[in-house]
Amino acid sequence: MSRASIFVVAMLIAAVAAAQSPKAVVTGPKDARCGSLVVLDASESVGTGRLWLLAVSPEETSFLPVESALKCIMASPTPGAYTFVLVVAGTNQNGGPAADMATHTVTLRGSDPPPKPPPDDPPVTPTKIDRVTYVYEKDETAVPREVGAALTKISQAGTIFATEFERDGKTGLDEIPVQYRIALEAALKAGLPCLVVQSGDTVVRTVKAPRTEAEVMEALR
Amino acid sequence: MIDQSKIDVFPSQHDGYPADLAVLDTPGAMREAFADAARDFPDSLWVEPSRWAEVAAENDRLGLWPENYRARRTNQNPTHECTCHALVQCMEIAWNRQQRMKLSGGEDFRTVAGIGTPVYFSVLSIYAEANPRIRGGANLQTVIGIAIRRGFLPDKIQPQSDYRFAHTLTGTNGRGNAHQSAGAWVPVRDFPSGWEQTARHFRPIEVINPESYEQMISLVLNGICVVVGRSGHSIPYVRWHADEKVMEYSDSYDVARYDSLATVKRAVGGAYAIVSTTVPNDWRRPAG
Repeated sequence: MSRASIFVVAMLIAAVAAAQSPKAVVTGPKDARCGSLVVLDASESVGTGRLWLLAVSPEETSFLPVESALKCIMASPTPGAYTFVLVVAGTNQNGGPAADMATHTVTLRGSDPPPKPPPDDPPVTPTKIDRVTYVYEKDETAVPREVGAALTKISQAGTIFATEFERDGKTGLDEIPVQYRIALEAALKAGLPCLVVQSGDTVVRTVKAPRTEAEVMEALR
Repeated sequence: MIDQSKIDVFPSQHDGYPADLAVLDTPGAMREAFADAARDFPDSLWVEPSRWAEVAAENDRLGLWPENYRARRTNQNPTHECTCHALVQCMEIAWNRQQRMKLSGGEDFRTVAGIGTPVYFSVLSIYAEANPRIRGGANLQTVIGIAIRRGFLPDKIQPQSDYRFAHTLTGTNGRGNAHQSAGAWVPVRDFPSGWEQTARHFRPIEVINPESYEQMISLVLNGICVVVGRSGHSIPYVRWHADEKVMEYSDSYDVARYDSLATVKRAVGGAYAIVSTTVPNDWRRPAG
């Protein structure tokens, strides 16, 4: 506190010596963001005069008492602790001059970083479909012509194994071929005939009883 | 327009399916030869005759004939191997159709466009057992029975070089061609040691004996090759020409020929169709 401030305080105390016993009360935020307007309130105080002082601050900062010093307004771009002193003058029980003092510290925080944009939708990793199988039982259904043609078109494109598998198919060792085990299981679960679309060992989707080329192509999307 | 000179051609040298053997190919005998692979003709494959022209046009448009899954021709001349050349064509077509591979190129030889692993099978690997006497031919029940029981060996020539088969065999004792190896007769006892371990991976699994010519045409309309024997010769049916009412076959003399409907009707009895074959664990490694 500067000498000038102390002198003013002393004069204020002397001037109001005859007033009632003073009581200094400061209410207001203890925490704020840099740059925001901080309003301290002394209206709960008892006394005839009020003086606001800034006792501690990270740098020279302006503040503005308003409404006959019932309130004090400050703002600063600099983070740190700002300690205000409120001196309230009045009189003691003997009618002599008296003063009360209260401190209030506001801590300014650095500006919050700009809010993160809402997260985008999770990046879509295109599912790499590498196998499509029409699983059927010939005693129940033939391979629909358009489905057969669609499988050929897909094979021709050169990136997806597009084949058919008859339910009774087996290897030379009389086992279910490894390359069709997952498709067969998925198809039997969905019901035959069934188109099974795979990405590696993962079944991407099953399409029950497709009949058209469009249905097959749609299943690959 | 079909060349009329190629319809109902029965050259005298077509004697690999002699009458004394053909007469044994009754429906009952065929089914017995199929053993566990025997299947009834399913209703699902039936095509009403009134729809034959419509379905044929659709097959033309979509490329769904057995002919569309045929990768090569073969040449048996001058042997009596016809029953086994027809069998090999039927097996190769069934193998290729399961993969729905796209074959493109000329009439005699086609390559895969995109993904697919066609395999050329050895005619001799079946015929050597069917008729160790070399001359005289065989009947259909014998050759399909052998194929079902223990399978084919791959031809020494393959359309793709990365199969690395442990065992192969000369394709034919006949002339062969650029896509079918030819060579000296190989008796079964001289097959490469352990050959059965490779052959077992190439067997027909489901085989149908069509009971009528309508069933035969229905099978072909469904993309399934039908092997028949008639007039001393065995051939694979690969396309029905609805307008001309003739059946195209890939003759084992490096040529396409045709049977009239009357001849097709005569071929019922010992006919068979391979509906499905063994399937490898990975198509890229056909023999496991």
